[in-house]
Amino acid sequence: MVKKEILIVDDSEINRSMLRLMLEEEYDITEAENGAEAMAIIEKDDHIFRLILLDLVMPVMDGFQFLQELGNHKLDPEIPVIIISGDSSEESLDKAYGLGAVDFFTKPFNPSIVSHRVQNVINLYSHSYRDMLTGCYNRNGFIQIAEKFIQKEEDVTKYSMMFFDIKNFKAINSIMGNSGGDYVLKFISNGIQKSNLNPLFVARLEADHFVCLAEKGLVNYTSMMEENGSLLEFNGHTLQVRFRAGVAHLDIKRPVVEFMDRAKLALNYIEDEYLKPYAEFDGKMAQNYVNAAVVTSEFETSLDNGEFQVYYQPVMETSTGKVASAEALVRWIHPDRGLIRPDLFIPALEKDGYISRLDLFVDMKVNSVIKKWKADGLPVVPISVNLSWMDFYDADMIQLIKDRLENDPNSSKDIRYEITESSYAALKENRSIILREMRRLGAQLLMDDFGTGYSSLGMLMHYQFNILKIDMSIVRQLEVNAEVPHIVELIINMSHHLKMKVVAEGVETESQLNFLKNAGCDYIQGYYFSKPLPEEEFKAFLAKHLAEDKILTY
Amino acid sequence: MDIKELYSKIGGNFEDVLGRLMKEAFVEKFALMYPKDTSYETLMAAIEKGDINEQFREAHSLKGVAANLGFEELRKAASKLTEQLRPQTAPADAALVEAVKAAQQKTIAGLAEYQAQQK
Repeated sequence: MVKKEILIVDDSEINRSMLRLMLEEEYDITEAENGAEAMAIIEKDDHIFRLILLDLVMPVMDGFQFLQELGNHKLDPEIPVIIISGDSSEESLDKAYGLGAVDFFTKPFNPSIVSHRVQNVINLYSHSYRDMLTGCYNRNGFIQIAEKFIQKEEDVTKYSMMFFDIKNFKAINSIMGNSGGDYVLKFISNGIQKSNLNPLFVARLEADHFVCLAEKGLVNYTSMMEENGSLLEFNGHTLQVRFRAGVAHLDIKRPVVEFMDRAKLALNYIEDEYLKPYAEFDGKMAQNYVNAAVVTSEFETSLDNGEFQVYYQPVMETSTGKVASAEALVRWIHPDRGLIRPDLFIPALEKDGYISRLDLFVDMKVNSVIKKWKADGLPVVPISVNLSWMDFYDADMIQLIKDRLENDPNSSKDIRYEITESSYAALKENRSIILREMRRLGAQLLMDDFGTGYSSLGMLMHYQFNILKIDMSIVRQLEVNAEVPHIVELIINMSHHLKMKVVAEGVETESQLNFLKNAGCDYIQGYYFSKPLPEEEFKAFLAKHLAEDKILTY
Repeated sequence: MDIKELYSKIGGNFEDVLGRLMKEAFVEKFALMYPKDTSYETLMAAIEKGDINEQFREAHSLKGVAANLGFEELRKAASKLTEQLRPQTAPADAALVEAVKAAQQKTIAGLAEYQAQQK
């Protein structure tokens, strides 16, 4: 770890050297002979000082004038100042405190007092750049310090950026409670800092996301994997903690956030979460690279320009092969980049809270399409739209859905809502009333992605769904893993007992279809039947199926 | 003469400074930095010039350095002068200035002697 920096401003070399002696083991010390010299060092801006130790009586520019100028600079984060003047008269201290100083100590310097006060003040002022839970940097602090480090370094190719997340952190939180989750976060933060990686800077960005900057030569996957999967004891629970890592080796000087984004992006390319839970960024990923900041800044314009389009993936009744319904899926067709994968832009929109705007757009679009087709006498099927957990916090959106259900009873048959287990936490937070309210108004609810998360069963126990959707990752395992067919049969039986219909997602082959048909799966969705279709193609698809009497009436 | 004897010769408090700096080598290193320190000269220049405010502040600085080094006699003399100057109504009292001068000379002489015998 890189030492924190302290600036000592005193005209006496003896005083400066003595403080240096007391502090240099733990801190990186810079000295200035007077206020003017100190100001010049700060203005040059190639240090990140966490504290200034300031004498008041100095030639050229004294401590008071320095405090005044420092205040005018409005530094962010502000640097706390401890007065070290021999002049500890009330009047001087009053004046110094008035100008923003936070503490003082008198001469002679007592090493124990000096080190405690220094540590206390630095800690007290660290909230703007430290993560209070783990003690490592927060996003701002990390970007600031790593940016400066990279810009100063001649050969940046010696370094690597690593992005970590904890596998199933949400599940850990829901099983062990927030205090258990916090314990795991501290454990991981500690683990990264003390590991052989010996990182220069470590930060927790948010939730279970950590980054660190380390020497490329110390990135050793074998030793990293030895530490992965550690068992942790908490409140009588034993828990295995696994993390995943995305790595971006620095190539040229770029803003530090670009390397952070690259390392995070690499996470999406991890193929086997157990055997190789890490991936290195490469150029191919860059082609798909969608900058989160760009997504959110362009989002509104893109939405207005019609770059977001709704596609429809038909769902068929397994026993008859008739079209039963469809799922509305959003596609972003970017004027320069072409089709952008939803898994690349949806997380960015979720992060910035725009996802509800997009969900609402899809919902409105689907509603108007169904209305229009009905008015034109065209065939329609029920269409389901996805609700993100964030939508449950968007009172306007929820109100709109409820109003429509209330004022237009037909809409409950035409539009269905798919909800994933990621909404579980939001629902538990006193928002379950929303789901019950929707049901009361006749909404058809689908439990989406069943079998991928930990709370899926919890969702089933607490809320009533009309339809359960078996996730495509399970369907794909049907012919690979001998246990999976049994599990799928059980899910189907269980669903039927709970009076739910079942949709299998991601069905691609005839043998998958045959198995699901025999197992009593009600509906299938997937490329075997049809890929997601743009509006016009879906219209034609329905017309063709109507002509063949292959649309289920509802 | 060792460093402890030097301190007793110039009226310093060796135990105090060793307690803070932990090692004799550090005590010696800092003590030998004192002849190059300008606090005393700056104070004398301020007295010459007659600026009471400046006199007070410079006396203060000298007191601080002497305190850090454990030069007790010099610190006491500088401290008395500082207190006399604190109200900033009267210029430096001649007798107190003399006491500071005497302590300074004693300290510098002791340090010079110590350094000479090291060579």
